[in-house]
Amino acid sequence: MNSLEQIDLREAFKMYSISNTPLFLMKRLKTDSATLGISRNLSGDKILAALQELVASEPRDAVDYVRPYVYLVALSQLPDIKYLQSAGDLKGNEKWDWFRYIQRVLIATYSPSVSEFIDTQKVLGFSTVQSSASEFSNIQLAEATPWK
Amino acid sequence: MALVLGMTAELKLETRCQNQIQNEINRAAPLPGEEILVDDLIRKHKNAIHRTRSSRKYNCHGLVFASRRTWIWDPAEVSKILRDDEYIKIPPSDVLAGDIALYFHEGDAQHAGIVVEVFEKPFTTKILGKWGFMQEVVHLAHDVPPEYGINIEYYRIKS
Repeated sequence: MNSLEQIDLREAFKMYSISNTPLFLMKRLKTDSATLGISRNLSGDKILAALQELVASEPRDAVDYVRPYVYLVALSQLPDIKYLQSAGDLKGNEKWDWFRYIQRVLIATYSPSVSEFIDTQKVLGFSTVQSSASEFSNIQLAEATPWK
Repeated sequence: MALVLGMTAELKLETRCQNQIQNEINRAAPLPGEEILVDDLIRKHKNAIHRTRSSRKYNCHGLVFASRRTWIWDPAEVSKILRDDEYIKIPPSDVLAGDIALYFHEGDAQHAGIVVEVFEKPFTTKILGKWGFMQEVVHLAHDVPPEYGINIEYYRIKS
């Protein structure tokens, strides 16, 4: 995943389209695979820069209307809150109705977290695992919070 | 005399206790791509009646609590309305047409609708609601986008 532009946000846009409240959208984006992919694969600087560029310009297509919210939620999944806090200062964010509200809620509920994949095959030293079982060989320790 | 209206505005909208209900009407035109999603929902919910196309002027809470005039976007405002307008929670056995259905998630009302029909065996209801900025729909209580969940509570306003 090299470019934010290439990430498929159609599911996120579907969530946006049926959202009656920003809280609903925010909660759904927290578990959206595209959002999680962005926060896991891209740096805070890169996401924030993309967000800055986005809010400073006009939406080019329908998906651009949900893109800022996706980036915001992705920033909230980083281990450092400073990126999420900086998003509130971006010029033009007022064009997105729910931007400031979602940012404030994300800051208020922020919990520093890290995600880690452990390859149990390697850890346990298994060498003759059947291929049919390989899909179960990765245990995801999602949202592990070492500070708690 | 022509009246020039801004794209977004907050209407004067109060509870029975005269507390302002935070709201926003958005007069923006539909987004490109919205119509495809409307049709997609029609395909996925074949047994429902899809009354309208998309609209940003009001949401489900605006339909239920503000006569389709505006968008009530904060679940806290819904709680305020329930309190100030003296809504009473109704057990399923007592639900009547005209009561309202609220879909809760983690304590927040994320979706709302007006009961238009009640079925007894098995119990279910038919509800008039609106799905985000998509269409107005008359649907069975559980025939909604799965993201709304099925934690439904019924309320009746005190007359």
